[in-house]
Amino acid sequence: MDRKVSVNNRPSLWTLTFEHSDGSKESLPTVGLRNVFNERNNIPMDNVPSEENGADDYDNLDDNYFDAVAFSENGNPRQTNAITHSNRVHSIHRNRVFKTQSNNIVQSIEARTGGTNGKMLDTSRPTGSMAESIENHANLIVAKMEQDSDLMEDSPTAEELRREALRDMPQCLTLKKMCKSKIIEFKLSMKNLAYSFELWYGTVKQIEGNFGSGVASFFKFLRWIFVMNLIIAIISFCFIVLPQVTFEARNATLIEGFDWRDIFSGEGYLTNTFFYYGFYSNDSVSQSALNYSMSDAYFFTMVFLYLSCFAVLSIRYEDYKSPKTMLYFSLIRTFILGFVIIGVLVTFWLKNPDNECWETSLGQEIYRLILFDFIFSGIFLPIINLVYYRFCRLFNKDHLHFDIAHYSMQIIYNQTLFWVGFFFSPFLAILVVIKLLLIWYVRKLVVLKFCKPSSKSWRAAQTTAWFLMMAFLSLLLVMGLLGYIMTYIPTTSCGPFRGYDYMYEIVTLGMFNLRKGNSVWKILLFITKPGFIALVLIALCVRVYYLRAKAHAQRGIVAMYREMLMWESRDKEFLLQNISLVTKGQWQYKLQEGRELDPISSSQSVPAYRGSEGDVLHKDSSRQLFMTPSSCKYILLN
Amino acid sequence: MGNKLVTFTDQQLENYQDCTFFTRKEILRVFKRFREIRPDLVPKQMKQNEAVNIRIPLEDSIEKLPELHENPFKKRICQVFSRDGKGNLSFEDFLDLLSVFSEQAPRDIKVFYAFRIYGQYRKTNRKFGIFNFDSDQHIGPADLDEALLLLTRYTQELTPEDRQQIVEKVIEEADVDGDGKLSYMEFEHVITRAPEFLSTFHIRI
Repeated sequence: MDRKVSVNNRPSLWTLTFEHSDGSKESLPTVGLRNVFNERNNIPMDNVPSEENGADDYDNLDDNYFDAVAFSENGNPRQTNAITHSNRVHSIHRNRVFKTQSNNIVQSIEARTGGTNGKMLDTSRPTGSMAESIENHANLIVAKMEQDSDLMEDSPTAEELRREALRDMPQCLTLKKMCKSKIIEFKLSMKNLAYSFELWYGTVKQIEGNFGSGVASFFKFLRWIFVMNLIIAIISFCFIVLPQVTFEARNATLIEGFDWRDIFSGEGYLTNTFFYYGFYSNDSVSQSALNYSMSDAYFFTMVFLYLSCFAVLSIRYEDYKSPKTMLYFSLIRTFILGFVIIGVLVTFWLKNPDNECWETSLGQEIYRLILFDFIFSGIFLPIINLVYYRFCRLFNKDHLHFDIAHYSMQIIYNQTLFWVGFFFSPFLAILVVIKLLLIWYVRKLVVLKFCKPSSKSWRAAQTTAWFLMMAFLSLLLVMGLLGYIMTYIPTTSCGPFRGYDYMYEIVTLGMFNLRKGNSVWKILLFITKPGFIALVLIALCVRVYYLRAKAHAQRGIVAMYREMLMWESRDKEFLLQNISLVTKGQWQYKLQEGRELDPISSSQSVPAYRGSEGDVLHKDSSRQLFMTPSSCKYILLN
Repeated sequence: MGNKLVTFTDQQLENYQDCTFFTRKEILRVFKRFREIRPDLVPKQMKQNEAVNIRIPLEDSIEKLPELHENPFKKRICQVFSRDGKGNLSFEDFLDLLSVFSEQAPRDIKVFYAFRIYGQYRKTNRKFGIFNFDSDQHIGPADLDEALLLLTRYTQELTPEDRQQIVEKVIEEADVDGDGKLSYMEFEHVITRAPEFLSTFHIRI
């Protein structure tokens, strides 16, 4: 349908009139002006086609515009009629801003308009030189533009964007030229910076330019691996190889004779050199008063290097995947780290034979941990947040966001510490209550005064579930630990259990008065045997598996039933249609040759149709057979 | 090529290309027209600061350019685009003017300058003889009245009462916040719906 669009003004209400091909007109009101004003900044408000060109060229149409003004369904988006006036009413960057999922649309628009956004900066002042004021204005504009990283890239699209941004600014030409030169200066300085900071920057850029980003990504990866290995090499050399080589405390004898073949086999002369494990002594190498324990150094350096590689790689992996994965990984990592710390601590205390009352020492250690955790995250960090907030305000940078994950993990860590230490220090509960109260007020202050809402949405349901799960897991582990302590660690001479050999005996001996040899005791002993427990666990696993399989099968059945329902409804529809045809008398069906018709209709001369019983034919034209309800029913039921 | 006279350096041409909506050829054509207005003032070579410093007086541009001559708002246009605010155009101002009025300029920038042109009489700083442009400009009834006078070329086609009525009607239609004058937003909104705006706000050189 050809439509011709015209705009006519009516007081306070704009309407758009469509003229159909048959001459009738249709008028649609637009959305009220105020609504349009409110949405102004985010919707490019262009593209009313010019009337004189017959409104056929819908070049550069913007769907959002039409949504906002409540058009009815549109005609063809692009016609090939040439027009005299370009409808290039969109600047590239407007479209791009709208299409990118930019977190900060306002900032992008600001950057692309250089902060001028329809304003013309004062170009003439009564006092002061004009050149100075232009320079200042250019600085302002370029400062705004620098804030958008998309605009400042090195790619051809970014260049085009910058050009567009410059052209569309309603400023005088001299100002624009100055802005352009400043941008070039800025980019040059950034490039020099990049050259000085990044290894092989020039080569990678060259490869990227000539071969594309795929090949370049290989070289970037290679460079990254190189740097990582370089760091490992430096650390291991400094801490392991160098001390050992300097203090020639060799254990094995030197194998004489260096053969050139040894380089390829790695054996021979090289066996007892610093290349391999066997060379490193387990004593402490000493120099004057300093003792350097080789075995400790070896172990801890290795463990540290492996763990840090693991951490770095997982961080890189996360950055590559989605932010959701990032979050989960960082949570898991924090959790593992916290638990390792606690585990190491507890093991250390358990294995320490010197201490008489290790429970008290452990309690003290946990108390110290909780206290320092509070000092750090409850006092130190908010002060840092305050400083950062002031800094942001001063330099107009990005605002602080409330790091939900981090704070939640800190709470879980705190809780785990509490659970570990509570058994050994009952007073800890009151302490932790006070600490949590203070944390509450501190966090409340931080979030209300210093933070801005994050632009990314937080998946509350899933992550809350995760936190709960982690808290649950840590409680489980702690309870396992305590169970172990209760059953396997003999009691010391302090504390409320000092009479008993093991802590659990308070239940068996004290309450139930079970002695060795008792039948209940025998049963209990049998139940707590590992074999028995393993059997129970296996049985539970089998049951879980069975239930899961059943659930899966039932899901399949549900799907099947749904499909059957759907077909049922279709069948019903089909049959209803045919019934309506029948009642209208438009039903026709074929009969076998020679088959007798109903007595009522037999008086009429009816042609005999070849066909099988139950064949149905739809016929719109007048019927040729008389049909009775009974015969219809017969056909339908068939 | 050879001993052909080169008006601008390559760098200059590139800058102009990046900052305006013109191609190289068009820029040179604009320069030719600019020079034709006052060949005695404008040198053939503009490799240094002549593009900024040498100004053609207002009267000459108005008289000698046929595209501007018939335009009722010619004086205002020149005043808006000139850097000194009095209408004396340098080459860069002239280029800027034609770039905004060209086909390739997007609607936004045209609307912006249209607002400047219509709203010019709002704030005249008579002490300094130049006009201060702030972002809080409005088009008031006085501006619209001036515009009507310019459109009728100061003849008496429209009586003052007619003009009054027209001004009132315009403000009534376009004014949304009810302050009796048009802000930039209101003006932009009205103009964006005028289908002939792009075609009329156009000077081809």
